[in-house]
Amino acid sequence: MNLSLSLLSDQFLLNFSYLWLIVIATTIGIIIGAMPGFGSANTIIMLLPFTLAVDVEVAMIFMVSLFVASHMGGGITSILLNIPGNGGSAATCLDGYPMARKGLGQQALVLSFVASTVGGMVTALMSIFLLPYIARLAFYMHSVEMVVILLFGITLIASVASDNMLKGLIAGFLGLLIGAIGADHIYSTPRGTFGFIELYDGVPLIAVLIGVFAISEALIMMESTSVLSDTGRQMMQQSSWKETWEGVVMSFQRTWHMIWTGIIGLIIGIVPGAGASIAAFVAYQQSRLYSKTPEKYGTGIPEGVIAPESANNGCASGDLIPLLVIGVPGGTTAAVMLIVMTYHGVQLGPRLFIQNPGIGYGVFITMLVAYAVMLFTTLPLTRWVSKLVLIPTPVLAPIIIAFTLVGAFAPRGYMFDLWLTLLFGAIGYICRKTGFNVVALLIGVILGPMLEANVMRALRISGNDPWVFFSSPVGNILWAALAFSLAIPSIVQWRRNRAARMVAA
Amino acid sequence: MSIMLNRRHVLLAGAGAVFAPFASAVQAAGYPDKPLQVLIPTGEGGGVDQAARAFNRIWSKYLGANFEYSYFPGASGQVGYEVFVSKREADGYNILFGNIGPEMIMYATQKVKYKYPQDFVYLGSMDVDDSVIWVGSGSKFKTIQDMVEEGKKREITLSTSRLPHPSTIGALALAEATGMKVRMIPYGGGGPARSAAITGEVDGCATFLSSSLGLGDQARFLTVFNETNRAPELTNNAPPVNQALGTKIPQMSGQRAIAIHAKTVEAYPDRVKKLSETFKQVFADPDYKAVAEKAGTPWEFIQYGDAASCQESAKEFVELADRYRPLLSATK
Amino acid sequence: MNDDRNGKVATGADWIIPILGAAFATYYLISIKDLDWEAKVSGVFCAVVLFLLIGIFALRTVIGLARGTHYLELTSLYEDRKLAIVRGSLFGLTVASVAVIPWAGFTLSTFGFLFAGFLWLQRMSVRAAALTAGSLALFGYVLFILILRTSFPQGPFERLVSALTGL
Repeated sequence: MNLSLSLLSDQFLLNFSYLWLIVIATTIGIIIGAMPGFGSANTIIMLLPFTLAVDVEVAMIFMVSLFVASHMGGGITSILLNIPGNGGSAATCLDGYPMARKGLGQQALVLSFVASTVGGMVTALMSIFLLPYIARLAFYMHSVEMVVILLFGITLIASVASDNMLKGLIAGFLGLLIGAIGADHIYSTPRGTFGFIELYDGVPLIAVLIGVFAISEALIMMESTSVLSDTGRQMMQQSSWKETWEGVVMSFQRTWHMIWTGIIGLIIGIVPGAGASIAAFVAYQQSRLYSKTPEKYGTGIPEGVIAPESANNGCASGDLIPLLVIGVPGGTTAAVMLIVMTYHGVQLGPRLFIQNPGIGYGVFITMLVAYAVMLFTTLPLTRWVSKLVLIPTPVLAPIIIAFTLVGAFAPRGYMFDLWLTLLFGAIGYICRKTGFNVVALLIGVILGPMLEANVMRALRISGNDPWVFFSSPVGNILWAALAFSLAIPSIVQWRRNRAARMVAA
Repeated sequence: MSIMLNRRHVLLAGAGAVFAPFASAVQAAGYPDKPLQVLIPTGEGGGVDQAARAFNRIWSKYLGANFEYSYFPGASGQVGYEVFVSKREADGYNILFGNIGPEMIMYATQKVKYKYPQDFVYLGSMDVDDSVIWVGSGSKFKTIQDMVEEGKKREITLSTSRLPHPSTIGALALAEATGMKVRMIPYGGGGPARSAAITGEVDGCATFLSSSLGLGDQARFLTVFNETNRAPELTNNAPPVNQALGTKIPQMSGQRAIAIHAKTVEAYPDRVKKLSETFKQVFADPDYKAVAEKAGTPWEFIQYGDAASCQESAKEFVELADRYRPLLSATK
Repeated sequence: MNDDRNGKVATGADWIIPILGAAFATYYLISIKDLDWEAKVSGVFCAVVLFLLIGIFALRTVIGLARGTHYLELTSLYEDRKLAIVRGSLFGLTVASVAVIPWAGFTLSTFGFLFAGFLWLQRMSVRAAALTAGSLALFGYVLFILILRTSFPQGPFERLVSALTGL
């Protein structure tokens, strides 16, 4: 791969000459990312007439900026309103929203932006310099390894539901079963669809997301006139630039945390078909696991915002690597980029880096520049955007419902999805009011289908030999890590108990 | 599963041409006065999407209308067809861009609510894309004979985008004819299926040729399911399967095609006439060659097929699928 | 729920989700009974575990009630009467606004929903409610229909604007 300094500096110059375009694209991307139901893939499709008309370099700058910005924007509504803009930012709700309720919304937004930026930039840099090695990772991450990685995410069901394990597990398994609605992964035969053609492709994630989070949150919200606690309200009213700065300090006190969670995102992103939602949940689970204070996760701590946000942006770099290096798109947005690049006659795969190294590496340079630009456009915004939570709930709740319902409808254009969203809104409300953890439910719905697909595929490849799951070295290392991670909490508990007994004795 | 083959339906789509002069001129005058809605039963950015967009760029010139796209992937294309038949108006403004081979196999193996050709007909096809088997560059299989030999000792795994697919039937027919054992692994999409073969999770990939051409040296083509290899220089001169192994496997191709509601053919013969005439004009346009190749389809594969030939090939795939039904369907 | 009152656990409303879950799992199992094992094994696994968990839950509740550590009540589902009315009407309004979309289109139904919501929940004046709801609905129309081109059914408002301006 022909990497040289002059190549990189040329790409930087090119990107700087299109700075205005990056500003426009990232602004669109952030808005799209924050709106549930709208994502980079359908936006880029809508803008195809533009990207097909301009030079391929310009088109790539535009698409890549918009793509990474949509990952960055997803956290905004998760933090302020407990409504994830997309699956990748669902995990951000866990600690982001509690922070906002405490009046730390501005800091949480800054944390999310800085973590996104650091996660995105570090992984983009790694991609530039280690591309051949990172691309090789795809050769080791097969169905078996994905099964274990997904199990890391699934174990989070038990963690988030630790206050009432039984109910949490019921919610989690109900989620898994809801995720098993729709065509099976081998024969594409519809299952559990109640005869609705709209469910053949599975329960649309966005309807669950909006129903369980937005609609039920709007209903819950009505119990007081503000989403903030009383002290939180006072803090928000007095907030100034100081809080933004505090958020920046908080973030960089946890620089290493941002880096390693970003790398988790990168690795998961490389696997075709695995996306930001898995990356975010796995990173959150890992972050909680290696924390000294795992019990504080879920109450609004900075690490709980950093981990998923950094990971889902790290995932953005990973998503594009299979497209560039082997010519196979890893996700929908990458597939749309493929249309544009083939239209412009750019050959993807190994030949890209021989014939057009500028475009190959340019993608990551654009990421670097786009993240830098976004830091300047988003940080000042935090002060104003975070005021959103000051709107009294009787006004806020109807607005949330009206506008998120659009997001439930938009991706597929079925009226059915609106009714489904309302159904999940009611289910989400009952779950919350009766102690069934909705995040556990959501983890089941998101990760269940991918887990099933990978398990069934691994079994089929092996000729239905269950030992296949322990047949690969990388897989076995991951299994060991999983076993270890399940054991850690008990070991810590045991040592604490012993220490307590010693003190008592 | 068998189709009630009814001559009326075979000829319906083409018949528009004959009856059109008698249809009211008023109806035809304004058509099309708004964009056509294209429904794609596979994912955005997929092979059909790319080909449809390339084709429509030229078609809009002759038709005098633009195109708007929507995507309804799921259950191997069933969702798209169900939505098209039950929720789209039969007015000549709604067309479906699909792929006859895989989608007729899906029709034959899954429980669908629509009927072919009572509910929709193919108006014309735009290319013929052959099924192939290829392996990753690191594979020990240099020829299809190598794979067949090994396959007699152990089960060969081949990735495919989905089970109801001509290349799956091709591979199963090959296994039946040679005594090799083969296990098809569906990945739910062309991208992941290709990636699995390149990264060595499976022994090889069974798919359509054109979507694998961009892989370059990463893929080594072993065989083509047709009587001749129409793009030998792009496929390391892989031999046609029957020539290499002395088998008698029928041609396994995909034909990307447009479909319209059968009701449209009856209610708006003039619109259908305009559609089919302008559809055909595209193939003579020199610009089409450029955009089709840009979209990744080699010019050798571009081939106009009329309504009758689409019907013929649809029928063949339903018969083929019936033969392999137990291997392709979850309902026994 | 589970707010300990004299160390007792409330139960009653928290049966809804397990009952729904068990009903759905039963339906799911019936829907896949004729399929090949590869299509049903994971569904069967999840359903069986879910039944087990629900069984444990039921057992615990029954034992708790028998021993007197649990007590029955339903109010935790809606807290108090006033909140129940507020939430019920908000949800009812939402259902109504979705139901009229096919005829009224996005803009009018959104306007109606917001207008009614502001009037009823926030006790805004008619003028303020109409103004706020109107501008929000218009903003939604521009953003979602004109710019993002979501395919909502067209209502009188959309048809009028399109006839007047050709957008």
